[in-house]
Amino acid sequence: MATIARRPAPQPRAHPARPSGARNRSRGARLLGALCGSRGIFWQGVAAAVALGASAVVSLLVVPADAAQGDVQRLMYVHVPAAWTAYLSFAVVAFASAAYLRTGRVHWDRLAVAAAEAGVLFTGLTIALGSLWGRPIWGAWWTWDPRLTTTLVLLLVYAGYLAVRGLPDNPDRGARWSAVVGLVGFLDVPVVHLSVVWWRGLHQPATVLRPGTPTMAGSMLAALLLAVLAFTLLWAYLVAARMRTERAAQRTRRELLSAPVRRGVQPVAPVADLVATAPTPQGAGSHG
Amino acid sequence: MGDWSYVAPGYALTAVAFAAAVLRLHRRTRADRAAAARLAALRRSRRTPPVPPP
Repeated sequence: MATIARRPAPQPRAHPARPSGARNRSRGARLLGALCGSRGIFWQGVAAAVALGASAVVSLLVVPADAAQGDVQRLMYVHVPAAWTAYLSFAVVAFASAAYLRTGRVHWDRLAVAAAEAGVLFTGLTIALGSLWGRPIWGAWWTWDPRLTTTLVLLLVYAGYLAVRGLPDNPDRGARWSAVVGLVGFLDVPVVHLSVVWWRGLHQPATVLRPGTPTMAGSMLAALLLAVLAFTLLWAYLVAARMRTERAAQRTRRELLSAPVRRGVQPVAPVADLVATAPTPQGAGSHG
Repeated sequence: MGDWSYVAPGYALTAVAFAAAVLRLHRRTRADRAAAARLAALRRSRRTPPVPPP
């Protein structure tokens, strides 16, 4: 009589291809991973485009003009969201810089540089739009008002953050130096916001981010919040897409550093230029 | 009819700035992908054993 051999119960085993923590990622980390994936970035771009279009229609055609300033006040729906998004950028730069200095994990550096680039874009836009708004209301394109001056300092600090990254030959050292700049530079953000309270100037005080209820009509506040949402969606799209390109560039740079493709080539130039100068094997690439 | 001579340039500037940022990112993504592809092709060509002469 044949005996039936019982198969042993399958034992759970670790997946050899994955790091031990990859399977036990938190819901937040999985959500962040999905948002930074190709599909997530695409849908963020679509959402941002739809929200920006809706915001433009509402702020230009639906909301009534201001009783005192007229239609010029419609610049508020792009100027104020740009400023808020710049604040958001620099808060993220400071947080990610602190996390990078503490842990040394390179994804914090990627987040910091992506947010810093977006922050420079939105701060420059804030200053340009404020200048366009100031000309008809104040009669000047620019004045050395405390709010304007501290905002200009903020722009220069974060332009310096991006410049410092490229100074040393070693990218890790550049990341550490810029992280320090990102942390110290954030001290200017509360100074920018409170400058209208601390010093007397031309710029009006805050109407929404202030103690008490906002001093603004309901329809205008709704249009402003829609514009803030649209700008924030675009900011998230830009940061996620920039993090993806930075990850690809760092990976290629690391491979070039580990195995130089051509004798005499020092991997300090942009990665795309380096690879473009490397000899192409026959049959590889479009020019091969 | 209100004064749109400052509003229109402001919104146009915003649109151009956003479009330029998105375009720059797309160009950078394409360049990084091309660089990675060329690097991978180089690595593959190094691994290929030499073809013996006939």
